[in-house]
Amino acid sequence: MSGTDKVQCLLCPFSCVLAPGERGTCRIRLNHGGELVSLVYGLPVAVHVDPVEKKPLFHFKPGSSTFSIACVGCNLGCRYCQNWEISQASPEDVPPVQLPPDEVVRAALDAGCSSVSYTYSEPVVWYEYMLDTARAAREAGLSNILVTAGYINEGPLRELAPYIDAANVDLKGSTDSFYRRMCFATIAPVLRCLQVLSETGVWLEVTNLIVPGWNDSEDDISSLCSTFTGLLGTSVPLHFSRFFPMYRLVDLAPTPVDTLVRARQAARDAGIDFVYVGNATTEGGETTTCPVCGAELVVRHGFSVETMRVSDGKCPDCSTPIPGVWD
Amino acid sequence: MILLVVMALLTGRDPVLDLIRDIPIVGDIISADSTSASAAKCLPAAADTALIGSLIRRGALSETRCLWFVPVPDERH
Repeated sequence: MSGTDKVQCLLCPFSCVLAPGERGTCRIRLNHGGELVSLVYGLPVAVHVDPVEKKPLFHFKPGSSTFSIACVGCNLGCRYCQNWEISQASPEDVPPVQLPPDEVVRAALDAGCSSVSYTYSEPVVWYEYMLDTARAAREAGLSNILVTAGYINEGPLRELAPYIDAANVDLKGSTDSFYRRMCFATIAPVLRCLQVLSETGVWLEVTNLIVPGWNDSEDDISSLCSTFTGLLGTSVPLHFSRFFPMYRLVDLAPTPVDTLVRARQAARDAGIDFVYVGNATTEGGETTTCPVCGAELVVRHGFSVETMRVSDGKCPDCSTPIPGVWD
Repeated sequence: MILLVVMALLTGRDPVLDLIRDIPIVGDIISADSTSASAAKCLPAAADTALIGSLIRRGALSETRCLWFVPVPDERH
């Protein structure tokens, strides 16, 4: 062999070059004797049945249960990570269970779920496990849901996208400097991920976690809405989520509810049709209304659906099509 | 609030976490077959390569070949 046994990972934009024994920035992809191996394939550390609203997805099979799995690992290092105990852990830190793809599918079916969600940490970095599980789930008639920060190269994303039915992508801010300061990453790959998912027909919703002092000003919200509409138009649902002090930002207070309400209003003023508030109770912040006649179509409380009036994908009062997957 | 406190006492965990979007309760796994995991529980984060190799051989860590990587050519001339 003439090489150095170094390898370069092409999964995400970091493109880590690894000598034997080294792991990527994600901590779970290891150069093992000149081959890149995943240390977490089939070894999730979190396995739950969740309401699909918890992802959050509000326009995808509302009221359904989704079988949610996560392995440790993430390629970002967001200071505010709400799941840092697993996303910022190494495989040795958190005891996993053995759950190969076919057993995920069997357990999901046994639990009465209509989908499998790859979620909680960053599924991009346990790509092979997610891809194999998504293929098996699709074959068994289950949908696949991706919850991600979208920091992935286009090639792997295009290989995965045909098996993904719905995605919630974190758009953490609207500027490169925010991504660099908060997440030690860059924004361009995330915007490209949003574009690719949108083009490939994956049902898409977007989440923005509003953090006091970091991305909560009027300018921040206005810039986010402008980036959002420029990229995705006005019919993709946008979720503003409340920050709670965690990981490296424990010195901050939770996001004031007023800030979330103002952000929602600003997004609606910017023309975005479906804007929601999460992790906080606000007037109408979880309700889907018809963008034409204003009728209340889906009323939610927390993660439960109380009223569901979308019929054949339309508003029953004025027949306006409501984007989403409603069956 | 009273309900949350009662839930916390009954379940031994913070119920607020259940109300936050997309957060799992770490360790609360609904389908646990952790026989393969016992060796991986208490290792330092910076476990060395030999240790990793040993864990892989014992089935305590996965050794699944990744997609999406390339060998890096030798730069020596």
